[in-house]
Amino acid sequence: MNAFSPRTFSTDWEIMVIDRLERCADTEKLLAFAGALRSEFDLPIQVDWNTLELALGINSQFDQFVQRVRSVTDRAAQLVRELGLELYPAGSHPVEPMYNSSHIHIGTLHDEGKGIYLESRLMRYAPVFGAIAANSPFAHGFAGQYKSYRIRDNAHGCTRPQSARDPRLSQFTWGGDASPKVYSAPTLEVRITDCASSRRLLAELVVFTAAFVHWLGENTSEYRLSETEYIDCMTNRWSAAKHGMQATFLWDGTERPVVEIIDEMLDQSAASLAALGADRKDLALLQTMIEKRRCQADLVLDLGKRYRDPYCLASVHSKLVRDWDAFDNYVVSSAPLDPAPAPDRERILNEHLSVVGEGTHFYNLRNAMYYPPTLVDELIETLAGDQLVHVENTCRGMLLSRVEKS
Amino acid sequence: MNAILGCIESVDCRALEGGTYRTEIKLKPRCVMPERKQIPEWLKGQVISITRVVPDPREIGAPGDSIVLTPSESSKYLLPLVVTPPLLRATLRGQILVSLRWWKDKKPPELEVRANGRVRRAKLSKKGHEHEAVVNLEDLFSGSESLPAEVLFECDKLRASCTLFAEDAPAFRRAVSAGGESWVVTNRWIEFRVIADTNGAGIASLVERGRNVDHFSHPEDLIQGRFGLSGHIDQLLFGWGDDKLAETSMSSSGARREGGTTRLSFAGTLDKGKGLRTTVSYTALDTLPLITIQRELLFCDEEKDDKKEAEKKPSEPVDGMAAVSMQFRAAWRADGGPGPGSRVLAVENGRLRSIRCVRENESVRYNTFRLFDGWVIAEHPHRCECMMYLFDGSQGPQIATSLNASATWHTLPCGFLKAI
Repeated sequence: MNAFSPRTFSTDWEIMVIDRLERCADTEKLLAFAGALRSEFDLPIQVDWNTLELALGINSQFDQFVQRVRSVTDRAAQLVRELGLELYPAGSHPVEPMYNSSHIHIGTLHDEGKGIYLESRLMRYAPVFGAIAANSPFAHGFAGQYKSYRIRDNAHGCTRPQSARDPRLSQFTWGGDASPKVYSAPTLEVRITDCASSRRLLAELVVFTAAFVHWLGENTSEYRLSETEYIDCMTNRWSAAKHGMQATFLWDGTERPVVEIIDEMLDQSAASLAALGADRKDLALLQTMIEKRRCQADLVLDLGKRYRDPYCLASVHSKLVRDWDAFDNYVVSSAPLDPAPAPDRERILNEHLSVVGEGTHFYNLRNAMYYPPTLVDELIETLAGDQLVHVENTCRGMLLSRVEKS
Repeated sequence: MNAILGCIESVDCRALEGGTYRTEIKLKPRCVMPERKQIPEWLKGQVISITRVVPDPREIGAPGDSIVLTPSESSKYLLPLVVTPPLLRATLRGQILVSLRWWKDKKPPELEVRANGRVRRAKLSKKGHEHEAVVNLEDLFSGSESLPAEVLFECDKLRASCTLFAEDAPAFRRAVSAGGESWVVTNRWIEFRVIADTNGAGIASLVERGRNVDHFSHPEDLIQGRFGLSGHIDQLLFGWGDDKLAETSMSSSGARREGGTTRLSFAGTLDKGKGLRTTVSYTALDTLPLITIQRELLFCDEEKDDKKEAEKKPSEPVDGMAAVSMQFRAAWRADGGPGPGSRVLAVENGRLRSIRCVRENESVRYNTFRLFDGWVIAEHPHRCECMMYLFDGSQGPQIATSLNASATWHTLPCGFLKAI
């Protein structure tokens, strides 16, 4: 029996609101708008850190969800405009220290144990959803080296790589990339996804994610990840953050472009999509993204080439995404991008080496690709053995310094 | 660099070949970024215009929307009166070019030239979109006057100066531009500039005269506050992180020569109600490329408010206590490009320690790394620059360093190294 019954889905969409001095409205002010929307729509709309959090209730059909997304955002935009404000849906702000998400909730899940086994099965797919949604290539202090700094930076603790859990031996841990969250709305929550700037993409991504997770939910038996699988998940998570839809994942012992994996997942979830009133042809924007290997971050990166200053970039980006379809038009008219190679051993070593300057605390390498401790320690040993880093044990812990070859 | 945030009045959009659009944007300036401060007097009520070529006119916006100009788009409006060169050495001869890069009216205002105790008028002539005047120093000085001297240009409410220093003789002088006043100290080794209208008076530039290199240079194309990414400032933290100096403007309390040094002093009020004041002195030695910095925090008598006294609740001694931390922050451009770059050197437990941050937004702060040896060096090996700080090591101040990203999106690593 499927872990999810009845089958439902929703999103919590965290949207910034900016005024005409280009400041983000703070949480206290946004409470008023959230309250008004909550009353008008009878939906649990609330606020999060300096964002309106559009929680779009319980949905069972795609068309219902599309209509709800449109009507709530139209009304939200109208309400905030009355006070000279505008919605600014983006995965990050180029200046302010803000990361925003469109969390995806898949219901209805009552059995947390089954949910934890599903969490383990889902771990390899979470980076796929992250790659599709990547939309934070510029953030406070970060500039253009990743398509999702939100994922790379773990969204200040709000989306973190999972640990492999056993429901007989584990506790609930908040904030993982994708995990059951039955203490409130009984759902499995996917948190890795950056905030969508496009209403159409949000609707397609949410229904696709829900349908796929429903399909996975057919199998509720125990599932344990192997060490290799877990490490591949972390490698793929890094690739998704770095390259978005251009990423190539390590998949079942081979390398596969993420667009191929998405294509396969769409086929696998055909029946589940139908149960939600959707068909693959309803996901035309996603299909175009697959063909072009482009995500929302690419639009922002192109803007960033012309606007080097982050204040100017935020100013133009916020206006561009106001009409909701800027990305839809962009991806249709853009040329396809090439796939990026999957990181091999040398690339992985170099990625960890790139974090080492002088007097670098060894723990910084934990954050290079979020590998587990034993693997990172092994990589440090390799770097030291190859005389690429000098290791020193101090009272502050192990310090690493790059050895420059002349 | 500052930039203008404005309210769009109109957008004239024309399609070009190749799918782009030429947009002429008229806007009313509303504030100056990044702090969103008041716009200068000469821009109040004015409508200015910029032109951008864009692939999608929606990124500009519509009338009523806000728009942030780049520093280069804003420059002629925020600094309309420019003097070239702003500093001359060892001469009372030569020419100064005065450029009025923007004015609200077609006819420019009169240009007054004040120098050597006299006021003259000069004519601004149209040159392209700007107005210019050339002033001969021979008309202002006989040649027998001593240096330093100042030539001050005034144009309506705009002011800018050219400062004349001797070649190597130690000297100090105020300098004026549309951006405000600063104080310049020079000797044969260095020339540094103090800006006092924020951050309790900090060092905004420090030029090594031998190579004419400004150690506190910053990119001109990024919107940043005065000391956002470069320069030396002190910080006075009350509690966890409330830096009282951040918004504190100081007044010059004099400059003088004494015992082979040149000394600039400033004073300001941190909190009038609580009687908190601060002073800072910057002293340049004639014989070494060395500046001594002395910052004091003064607890004076609080202002008495009889009404508040009457309503005062019972209190304990701890209620009157303030946890204060004094520190300095120096920031430089980080070396860009591959290979080892900017780093901080200091001694930890008798061993030379080097800290080099390499990752975007990396920061290092060690509570146990205390600088008992009383020095720290910031080195930028690619451009052969370094700066050494010397201080009282007996208190063992802690070190923190960080690397922030700049807006050069596609080269790495390029950022700013802050050492605290």
